[in-house]
Amino acid sequence: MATNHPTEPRDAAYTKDHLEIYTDKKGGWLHKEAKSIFAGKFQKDLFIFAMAVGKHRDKKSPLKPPKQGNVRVDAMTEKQKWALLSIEISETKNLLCLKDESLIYTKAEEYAHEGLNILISRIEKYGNNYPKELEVELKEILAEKT
Amino acid sequence: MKYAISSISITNYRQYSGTQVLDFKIDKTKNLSLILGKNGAGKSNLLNAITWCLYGIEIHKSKDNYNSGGMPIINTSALKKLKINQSITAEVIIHLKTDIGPWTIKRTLEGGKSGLGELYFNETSELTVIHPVYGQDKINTGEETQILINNLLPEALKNFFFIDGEQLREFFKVSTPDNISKAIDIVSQLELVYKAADHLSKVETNLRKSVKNTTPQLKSVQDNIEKIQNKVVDLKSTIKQVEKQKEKDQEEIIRVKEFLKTHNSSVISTLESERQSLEIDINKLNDQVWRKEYQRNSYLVEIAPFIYLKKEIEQTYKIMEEKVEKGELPPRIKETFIKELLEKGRCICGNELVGEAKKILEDYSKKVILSELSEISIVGKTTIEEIFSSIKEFPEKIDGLNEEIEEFKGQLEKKELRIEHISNEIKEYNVAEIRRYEERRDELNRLIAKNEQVLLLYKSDLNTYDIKLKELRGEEERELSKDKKNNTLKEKLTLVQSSLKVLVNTEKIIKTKIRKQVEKSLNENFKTLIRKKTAFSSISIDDKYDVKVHHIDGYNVINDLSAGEYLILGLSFMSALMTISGFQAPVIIDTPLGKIDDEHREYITTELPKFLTGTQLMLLVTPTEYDKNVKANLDRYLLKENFYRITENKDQTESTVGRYDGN
Repeated sequence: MATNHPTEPRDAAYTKDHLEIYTDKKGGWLHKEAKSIFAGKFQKDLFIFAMAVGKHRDKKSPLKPPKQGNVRVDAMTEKQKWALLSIEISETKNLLCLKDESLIYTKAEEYAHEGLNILISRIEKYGNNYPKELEVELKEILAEKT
Repeated sequence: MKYAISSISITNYRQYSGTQVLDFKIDKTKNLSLILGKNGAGKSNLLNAITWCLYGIEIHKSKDNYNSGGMPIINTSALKKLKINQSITAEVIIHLKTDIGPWTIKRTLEGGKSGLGELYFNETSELTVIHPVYGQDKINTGEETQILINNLLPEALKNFFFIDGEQLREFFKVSTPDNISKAIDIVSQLELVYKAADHLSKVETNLRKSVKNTTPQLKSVQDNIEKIQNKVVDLKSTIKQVEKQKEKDQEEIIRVKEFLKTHNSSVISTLESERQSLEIDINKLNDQVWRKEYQRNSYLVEIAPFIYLKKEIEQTYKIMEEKVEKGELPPRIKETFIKELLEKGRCICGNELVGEAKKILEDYSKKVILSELSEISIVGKTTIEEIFSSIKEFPEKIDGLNEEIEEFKGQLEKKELRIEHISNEIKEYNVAEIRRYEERRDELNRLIAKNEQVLLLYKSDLNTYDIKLKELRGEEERELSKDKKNNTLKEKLTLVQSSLKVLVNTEKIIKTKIRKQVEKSLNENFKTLIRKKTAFSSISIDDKYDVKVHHIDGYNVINDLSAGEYLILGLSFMSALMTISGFQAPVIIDTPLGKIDDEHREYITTELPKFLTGTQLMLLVTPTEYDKNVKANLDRYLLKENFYRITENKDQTESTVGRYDGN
């Protein structure tokens, strides 16, 4: 079920030092032949993933210019958008924040920035075993009592 | 320029003593010429005579073979008859009919008997070309003459027009992606791009050397650039060597496999056949494992954010529910829908809307004044419910995917184990030659794997050098900017470097475009020439030049084709290359139908001349190939003046060629 988000921004951004990772050219994580878990995925998928990692670890930092506004928001699925919006709604415990979604996206960029740094070190640590490690971690999160 | 061969004259060349003349009538519809000859009678040497005359190279002899002695080009009987201090010349003359008039190409090689009675041969042959220029015949000799012939058809392309039937059948059987890539590279005619890149690299080095106001920092940066550039050149040359070796090993391993598969011992041939089919299965399984792992990874990437944010998403949902409870967020029912129900006076369950029910609905319709915000939130609530069900199914779904992966891996392990057993059985077989072949196979596998690793390493080094060069060029630019006198030089360097980048991209674009054109044309040709038109869905050449023949059921059957199908695939590929090259030369095929089953022979001889309408087609065939059916099919395209037969003398050492009436 899709709806208009009149106040959402056109793009979300990352910093220049993450450009190489976000690129789908050879050497980037998204390239279809890359060994990475993100092979064949899109920038928006990596962005949402990194943002979720950042939020889960409660780490965020403002983006230093020059920003690379390459993540197309209209390409995100409704589920991805609501995962992103839920960060601010849960933090403010109110729906009023939806009046200006662009502010929520700015915060999401900050979480995604730190999340990607965490991701880089985790992928470096686990290498090809990262998907397995991720799977275990996700199962542990689900097993936690909320 | 389009050309056809109107006549060939051969004198004292290989087994052809004296002068043999073959005249061909050129006809657009009856485009076929036939030369019939037993095995060893001199068919291949007729093809050799043509390529020797045009390029100084015999197509059937590799360069190594050429330089390692063997039979001389000059006819041996004629050589025997020579007296002391007498000389003799082997000569091939080809007359061509071209769009701009007749051409004559003559190549000669002189040899003789010295005063001491020893035979000698001139090291190089002499080439003469007579061609029309402004209505006059111009005679060309000397080094530049070869260029004229290369303008008609470049030497690199000759193998696509002057074809050895056996090599053509084997082309896709033994070809590696490197061979395919090379063949496509040849027709891409990128020499101009390569030459331009080479020239620009030299200009870049010279510009760097010409800097006048150098500082110690600038000098150090420029020295480093030069050092790395030299390393890149060396590394690229090493990579080429390793790739060549890998290619040679791959070709040898194919020959080893063929030897074992066709061995007289049924035990060995059965084991090898089983191993080859296991290898195909293993490739398929590896592909399946890769696909499943890709699917699992893709799923993990999609689901993980929702699980990481589960707490936040749950809280959001709770907030929304509270709003709904308080009536701040009405359920997602459109105002128009409620109005419609009231107008109809009937509920969706079929009951009439009267009394209390009608009153509740009327009150509710007043409440349904959806603000923009609540509209968004309602969608959000539904979306979050979808997220919850995705999270709920995660453990089961991920376990299911893992089980499938493990299942494939288990099958893979079993097949790999069976291959190991087969190898051990062959190694213990009581024929030394077989054991030797198996050991060699092992060794080749190890060498190929090692070279693949080495190549990976070298390519990663190249990548590192590229990054380093990029950094250094940036530093160089900054250093040059410090002195205004260097501005022009800096601009020139930037221009050269950008031009080099453009050339690299151009090369990539051209290669991709040509590959796709070849793929398209290959598919069209194959569909025309193949008998089983519905069995194959398509042929693909991927960006790694891996050729796949897709069976209608989805399997890649490149390793399971019959000899006839391989020939057709080869012909279709060569023909695609011919078309794309843009050159219009005769097509000459030596032994086109050997080892081909009757059905394919019938089909090829019906379709091929038709397929090449307008192109001169010359077939060199054995009497076995030229059976009754083939004769009947080819007769439709054959002018009787264009039918020749090679006859051997009693000792089978000399041959002559003469017109043949077919009886």
